[in-house]
Amino acid sequence: MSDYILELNNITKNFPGVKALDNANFRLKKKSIHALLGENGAGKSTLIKIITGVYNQNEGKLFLNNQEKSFSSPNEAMNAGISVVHQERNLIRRFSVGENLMLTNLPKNNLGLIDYNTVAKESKKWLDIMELDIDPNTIVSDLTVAKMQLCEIAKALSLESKILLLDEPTSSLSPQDTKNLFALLKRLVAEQDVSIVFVSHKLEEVFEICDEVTVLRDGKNACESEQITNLNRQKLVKLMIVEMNK
Amino acid sequence: MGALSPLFFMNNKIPNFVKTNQFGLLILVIVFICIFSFSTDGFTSRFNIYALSRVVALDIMIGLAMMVVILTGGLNLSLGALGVSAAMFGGWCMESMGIPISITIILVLAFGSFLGWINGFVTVRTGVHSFIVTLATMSIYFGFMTLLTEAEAFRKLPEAFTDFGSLKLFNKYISPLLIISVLTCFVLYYIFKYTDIGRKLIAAGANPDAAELSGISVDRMFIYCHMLSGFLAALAGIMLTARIGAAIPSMAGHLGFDWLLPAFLAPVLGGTLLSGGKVTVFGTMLGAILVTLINNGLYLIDVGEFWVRFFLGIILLGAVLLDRAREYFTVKNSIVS
Amino acid sequence: MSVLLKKDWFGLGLVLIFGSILISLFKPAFISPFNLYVLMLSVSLMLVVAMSQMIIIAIGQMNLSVGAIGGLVAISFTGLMEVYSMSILPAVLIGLLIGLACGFINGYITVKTGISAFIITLATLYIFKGMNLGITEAQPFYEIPEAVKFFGNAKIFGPIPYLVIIPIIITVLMWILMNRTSLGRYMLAYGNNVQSSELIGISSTKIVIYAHVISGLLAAIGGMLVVCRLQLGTPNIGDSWLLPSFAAPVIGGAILAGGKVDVIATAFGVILVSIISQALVIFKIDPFFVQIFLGFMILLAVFINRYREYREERRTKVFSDE
Repeated sequence: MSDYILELNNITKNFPGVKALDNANFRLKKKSIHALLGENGAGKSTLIKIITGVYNQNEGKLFLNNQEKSFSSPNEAMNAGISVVHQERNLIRRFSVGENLMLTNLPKNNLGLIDYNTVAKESKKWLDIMELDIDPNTIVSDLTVAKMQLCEIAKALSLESKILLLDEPTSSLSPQDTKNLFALLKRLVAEQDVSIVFVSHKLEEVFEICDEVTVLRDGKNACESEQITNLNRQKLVKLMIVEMNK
Repeated sequence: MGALSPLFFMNNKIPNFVKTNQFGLLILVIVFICIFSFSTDGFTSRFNIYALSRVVALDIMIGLAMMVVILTGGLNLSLGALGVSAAMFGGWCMESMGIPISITIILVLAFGSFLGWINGFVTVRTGVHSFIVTLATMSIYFGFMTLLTEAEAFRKLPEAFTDFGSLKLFNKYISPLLIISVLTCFVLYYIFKYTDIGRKLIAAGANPDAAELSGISVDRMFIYCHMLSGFLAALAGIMLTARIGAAIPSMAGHLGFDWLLPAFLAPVLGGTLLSGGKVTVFGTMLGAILVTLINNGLYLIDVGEFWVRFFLGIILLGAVLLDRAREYFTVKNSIVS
Repeated sequence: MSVLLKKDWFGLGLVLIFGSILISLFKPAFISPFNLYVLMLSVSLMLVVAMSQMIIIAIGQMNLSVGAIGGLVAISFTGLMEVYSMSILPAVLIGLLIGLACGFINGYITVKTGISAFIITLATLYIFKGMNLGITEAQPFYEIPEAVKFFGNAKIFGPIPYLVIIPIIITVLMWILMNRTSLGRYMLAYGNNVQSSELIGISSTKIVIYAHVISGLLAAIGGMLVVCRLQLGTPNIGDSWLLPSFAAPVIGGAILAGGKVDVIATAFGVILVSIISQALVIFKIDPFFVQIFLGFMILLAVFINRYREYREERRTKVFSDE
């Protein structure tokens, strides 16, 4: 049990007229990369929103580090160490990379004014950890999509997040960028004790980088924490679109 | 929110019409009329009702002009400037060029539609919100108009035209201008409810993405809305000119500002959602009547012409807060959120 | 020196200077001390009003009531001194307080109800203007202390008026706010991306209220400065502020700051608009042309900004697989 950094047990979430999640489970092991799969409407995004504090479940419990938790806002989830990297960038495009990374905790000088030299220095630390060769003074809107995404991950790290949710992270990336991203993710898991939830519809990528898979179908688990080594593409597709046998 | 809690009890037994915003407005209008009739002499006099009918006619028209742009989720700040520009153009046609009245009217309406088209075109092509676009065009239209007319009014308009404006019908109670406005309401209602183009306009405003997917060109629909707004604003301009008996550059205030509050208040009171996608033609009509009544009432109870603006601002604020509250409660109670 | 050359505003500053020299070749009166004096006055007054709108644009909203607030404070300021024989300092403080209160009302209602600031400030525009007219009954207040009149019209040396001092101080303070304080940075972040900002824990309530309060304060200062200049308090002070208050930040921002909200760019916008207006007057071109011109410039500026955004979006979508 103490293997898991995040546990969602028997989660049910209702919306007017539809049951988005029906007794669903999701368990994230420490230092693992866990794929969350499912067709559109299967309940993936609802689950993510519960994890990130946008929604609260109607039934079931959420455990973070074995402690039961209930987030009343995304900000709370973020402070608890859970970060999401969305398709829509969450960076402030007109600010520099460094300022984005330090935004919640801007270093100030004696007069109470922002000390941009320290901003650059501190943020460089996080960029170096990720082995990203980006000048912290670069304005975000001048970066390529791939670099922006990497900065978002750097930002999550700088917030001391231990759980990273990546929602369709490679949809705007070239094959080379994707490779770099995956190398980075593996390194993060190994060196920074980060655990990753990987949401994607690209099954090849799931096989390339994930350890375990949970598939949702119609709000229920089609499979749960299944080892990737036990699956192949055919089985996975079947799980996603074939009706579950009770 | 105590005022709204009775709604919760009403849910099952009472016909739908009663719950609508229009019904509430109708009640309010009747209540106000009763209050004013009893508390002030002269409210029900022929003179006052006739005068009111002329003001209401204008407020309804400009309310409709704003309403069709609110449908797109936007706003038309330029409608005052537009209407006056069109009216001045008409004055020039009739007085300086001697063009017959009927042709002038057609030209003016076309001109108004054209200015409206400019608003729509720029909004749609640049993707900039219509309130910024119309903020700019407001100045452009008013500036050009003032420049070209050298701020001179046209006071020698054809008699037939000015006579129409002071015509008294139905035993001298009602102005024909009011009939024009009410007829316009019926026409617009018909268009939006029963014609293909009307349904498309509403669909484009209510859910642009879905509309686009079902083959409706949302851009074109929005341009049509702006053109219609310009058309109605021009019509309002003509009506105002007929009423005054002259085409005066300042008749809608500086930059046409005087029209903005009633034009905005009428649809909002009438239930047109500011978020777009909904039109309430008769609601807007009732809203315009209510605005006029309140204005008139404030004047009659001697609030002092200078405080009227203050009260109208408060009413506007109240109206939008109510609109917001209404939205909030409908979302809370709806079956499908 | 090479660093200076790289800055956009340096190049454009040169353009302005050359343009002015060009105009003065045709009309030497343009660079006469008197004309420069008038120009500086015009810039001073417009600067404060532009800043008042700029901070609201920075948080992604609009403030239609800047003129109404300025007018209300102007007549209150003069009225207090004339009718109640109040001395200058308390009258100024009350004026500021009124501006603060008006701004607070705007900000509070906007953020608490979620209704767009455009609509709220449209309503408060009428409310504040209505109060103005109700109090003054459209009559100006004439009795103003000599010190106030002096401040509004005297010069420090040469053509430089006393009146420039306050707007310059305000511009510097605004620059510090927007570029060196967390409040200012958070305001810009909020204007850039509301959801992101809330996610990181930036309080919308705090940002919106602070911005509107500052906007109200600046509008108040603007109103009082105009009183100093005009030497009376008329109810129509502020009526013509709306368009220029937008023009300066938007045009300046489009030219100098890639379409972003920026203090220096706004100041530049004010100078540009003032010079053009002055030039038109000197060349005896109809003043209404200024309005038309401003309207066009705003459209152009906004159009260019959108085009820039569009280009940027396309660039970042380059590697999309879809």
